[in-house]
Amino acid sequence: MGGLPTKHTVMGFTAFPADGRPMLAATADAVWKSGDGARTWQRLGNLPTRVTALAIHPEKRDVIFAGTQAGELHLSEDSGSNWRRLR
Amino acid sequence: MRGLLLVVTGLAAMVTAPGLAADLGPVRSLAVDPKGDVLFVAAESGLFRSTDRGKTLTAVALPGAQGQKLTAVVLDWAAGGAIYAATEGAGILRSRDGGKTWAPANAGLESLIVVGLALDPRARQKLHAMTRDRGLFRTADGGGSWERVDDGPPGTVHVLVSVNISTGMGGIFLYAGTDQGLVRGPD
Repeated sequence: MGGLPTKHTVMGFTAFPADGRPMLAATADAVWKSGDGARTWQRLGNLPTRVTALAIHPEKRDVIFAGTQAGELHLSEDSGSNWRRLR
Repeated sequence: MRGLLLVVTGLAAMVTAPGLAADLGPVRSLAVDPKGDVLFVAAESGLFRSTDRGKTLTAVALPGAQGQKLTAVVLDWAAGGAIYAATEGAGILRSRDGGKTWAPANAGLESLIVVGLALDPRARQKLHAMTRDRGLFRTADGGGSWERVDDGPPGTVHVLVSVNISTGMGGIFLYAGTDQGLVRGPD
């Protein structure tokens, strides 16, 4: 679990159904992405804190939705590099 | 007391009114149906669906689960596949018509406080459900009947996901997001 702060609470998690790549995990202050089956993790930017839910489109691995504690919804269409707020 | 009851009833009606873009409250779970790009949003205020990628939301009525906090929404994205909603208090509800009608799917589930729900991406009749007080359960028939597996992951579980790992030994693994980090166990 290199990179992911393993002792932190993980509120949200998702993985591409066909092969688990990518995986994303949401902790209190960040969203993390792994492309190697949770061995290493990269912290994603451009998202608000307190993400509480994540979902990958089951047929488009680059399309990811995020929901927050405050009731916001965000969308990335490039596998988490850039995000835009939907509501 | 009578006035208070009226206020609470009015608020519930507002939040669950079809077509209303309500304040969601904390979002607990999201699921995408690739047919028409339908997004399902499980928030503490209820279940919603969107056909325009989240810009507008329509409340989905869940009979028998009014007032219960939703904890998870998962779906079988095959054509005609089922949608499942997990709640803290009413167990699991299942829809086989795209979310129009729902029925309880709790046979064998020893607790109705469900905190996580995961659908096997390779065998989508197989699901796991994590309860707050009775541990982990699984079904092999799409929620027709559940059997207890064990105590489940340690700590407080916030999210449960079955993941198909294609490298190494491969296979389906159950990931849990908990207050002790991300935990992985065999399916």
